[in-house]
This record gives sequence, structure tokens and C-alpha cells, in this order.
Amino acid sequence: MSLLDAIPSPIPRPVMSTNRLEALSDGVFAIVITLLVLDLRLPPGHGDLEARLLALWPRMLAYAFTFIVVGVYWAGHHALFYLVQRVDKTLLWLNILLLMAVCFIPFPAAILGAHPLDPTAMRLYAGNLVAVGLGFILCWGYASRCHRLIPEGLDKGLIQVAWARTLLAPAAYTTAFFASYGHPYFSVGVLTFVPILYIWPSRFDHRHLRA
Amino acid sequence: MSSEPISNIPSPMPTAVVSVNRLEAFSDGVFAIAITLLVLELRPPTTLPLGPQLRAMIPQIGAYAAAFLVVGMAWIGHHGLFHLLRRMNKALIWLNMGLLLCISFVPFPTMVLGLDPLDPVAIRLFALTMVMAGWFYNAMWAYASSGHRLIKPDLSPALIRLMWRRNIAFPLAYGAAFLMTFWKPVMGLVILALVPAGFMLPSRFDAREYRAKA
Repeated sequence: MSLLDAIPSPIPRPVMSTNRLEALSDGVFAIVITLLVLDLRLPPGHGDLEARLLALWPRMLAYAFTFIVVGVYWAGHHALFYLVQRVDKTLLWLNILLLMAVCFIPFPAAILGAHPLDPTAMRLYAGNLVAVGLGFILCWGYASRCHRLIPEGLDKGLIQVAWARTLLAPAAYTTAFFASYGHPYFSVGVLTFVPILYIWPSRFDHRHLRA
Repeated sequence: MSSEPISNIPSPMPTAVVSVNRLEAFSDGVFAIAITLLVLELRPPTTLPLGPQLRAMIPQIGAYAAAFLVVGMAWIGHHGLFHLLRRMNKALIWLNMGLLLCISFVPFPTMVLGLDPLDPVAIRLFALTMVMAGWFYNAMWAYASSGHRLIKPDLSPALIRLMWRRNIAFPLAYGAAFLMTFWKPVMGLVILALVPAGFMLPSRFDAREYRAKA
């Protein structure tokens, strides 16, 4: 019997909490959102600085827009995992898949910044966001099924609203994906509109904060 | 007990937990940055049309996805091991630093592998990185679990053995991938892809570990 065995464990950690999953995810979101600016490079040359800066406007727009998109996803991740009580290995893996799609975002964002109305660029961007949406669906579906990892008494209405918010974005981005074949401007409209829907205050936020 | 070095004398209670938490937070930061930097190896095509150029990038995108799953697997393993710790010391910090050294290196072999996934040297470089990571991981477990040095006192010998069996498989599988490249490079690549899949499967170990009481 060593001395160590006699010392009780300081704070019991009986089930795996969501702490580390949140720490890793926050780190990933923070880095992705910060990497976006690396795509802004001043075109070479010694000419008029103002003209060279103005030439960057599609990339600046893609940067700002994607920043908001990633921000919306972070807020969504935050809200969803606020409802999750504990983790198991499957949820850790599903979250890794979600993060895999999130980490990819700078790539289509850079392509869209370089070729703003190119349908392939738009499909790659929308496709990436659909993949992020699927990641959210997998995480929330797994965690909420039969209250597997969420509190026993969590309000049914709240679970439904969480579902609606989880499904809305991938449905809209799938529409944008297919619309790009004939109606690229419609796709741009959808891509622009979705983050606004999520930023707008909703019933969900009120219930959520009171949950 | 008299043979225990001074650093093993437990600090007052709260500090022990705080320091495990900080080591976890530091590690999470390193894992997060390593896993996010992988995408920087994908250089966006500069000219139109995009389709053929994107198709030509499929090996690189595949290497990105594979490396992402490998780092994800390593993080989940790290999460599982640290869940069983009750305190830490300087030796553990440095064994963990060795593991993080390997993890933060991953974007480099991934980039090399993406250039030509069937080049045996590229596969060996990737496999070797993961073998090193695996040895540091198992060294951490050996150090922490021997005599219940840093792990929770009531962890059963069965769980400790189960942890061993599961995690020693990690460097052994990558070692096999390394050796396989001398015979059939594509088999080495297949093993690289299968290891994360193997660790994704639910096992008896997870059921016990995740239910492990503090």
C-alpha cells in the first residue's frame, strides 16, 4: 500500500464530460476562422496601392462572408453541446468528422474568392457546408436519440427546435448546390441569406438560455 | 514509497487536478492546430476551369482526410488515457511533449504523401511518424500505470491490461505498414487507412473505460 493510494482522488470525474471535446473544437474553430485571412495577398507590383487593394475585393468579401459562416457554426456547436451532458467514443468520432468538414472550409473559400461566380467554385463551397451540416446531424442525432447523451428531462420542444435548426442549413446549402447548375445568382442569394437566419434572434435562443 | 522521486510527492489536492487540466488544455491546443493546419497543404488552383485541376488534387485531398482521421484517433486516445489519470508530474509532461512533437509533425508527412501516395518512402515517413507517436503514447501509459503511479487507485488490473493490448496495437500496425512498403507499397497504404477504422469500432474496452469510475 503506497502513500498515493491513501490519498483520495481530488475531484471525481465519473463520466466523460464534454470539456475536452469543447476545448478541441473551440481550438479548431478559432484557428480555421483565423487562417482565412492568410488568403489575402497583395498582388505583386509597385503600381497604385489603391488599385491593387480594390482588385482584392472578391477575396475580402469571401473572407468576411466565410468568417461569419464559421462563426455561425461555432455558435451552433456551442448551443448544441450545451445540451449534451456527457460524451462517449462514438460522439467523439462524429465530432471529429464534423471538424474535418469545418477545417476544410478555407480551401473552397480561397477558390471562391479567386473565382466568385464560377459554378464549380460555388458547388465546392456549398458542398463543403452541406458536409458540415451532415456532421451536425450525425452528432445531434446520436446524442439526442432516446436521450442517449442529453439530460433525461430535456424539453421535447427544445429538442425539436434544435433539430429544425440542425436541418435548415444543410437543406438550404443543398438547394444552393443544385441551383448553381442553372441559377448561380440564386445560389449566391441562398448562401448569403442562411447565416442571417441563424444570427437573427430566435425563440430557440430564449428557451435555450432558460433551459 | 521511499524510492519515489521528489516530484512524485502529491501536491495539495486542487493543484493536482488543475495541472492535469492544463496539460489537457495545452495538448488540445496542439492537436487543434496540427489538425487545422493540414488544409494549408492544399493549394487552391489558380486558373480556370476548376474541375480538372480539382480532380488532379484528389490524392492530396485523400491524404488530408486520412491524416485528419489519424490525428483525430490520436486525440481520442489521448482523451481516453488522460481520463484515467488522477495527477501528473514532470516526467509525464515530457513524455506527453514527445507525443505532441510527433502530432505537430503530421502535416509534413501528409504533404509528402499527398504528392505521390504510392511512393514507398512517403508511406514509410508517415508510418514512422505514427510509430514514434505510438511509442510515446505507450510510454506514457507504462509510466503512469506502473504501480498505479499516476492513475486512479481503483483502476482494475484487467482494465490496465486491456488498455495495453489496445494501444500497443497502434505502433505495431504502423510498424507493419512501414515493413509492408518494402514488399507492396499499396498494402502499406491500405494499413494506414485501416488503423483509424479499426480504432473507430466500438470495443469491450470503450464500454469499460467510459464507465470507469473515478
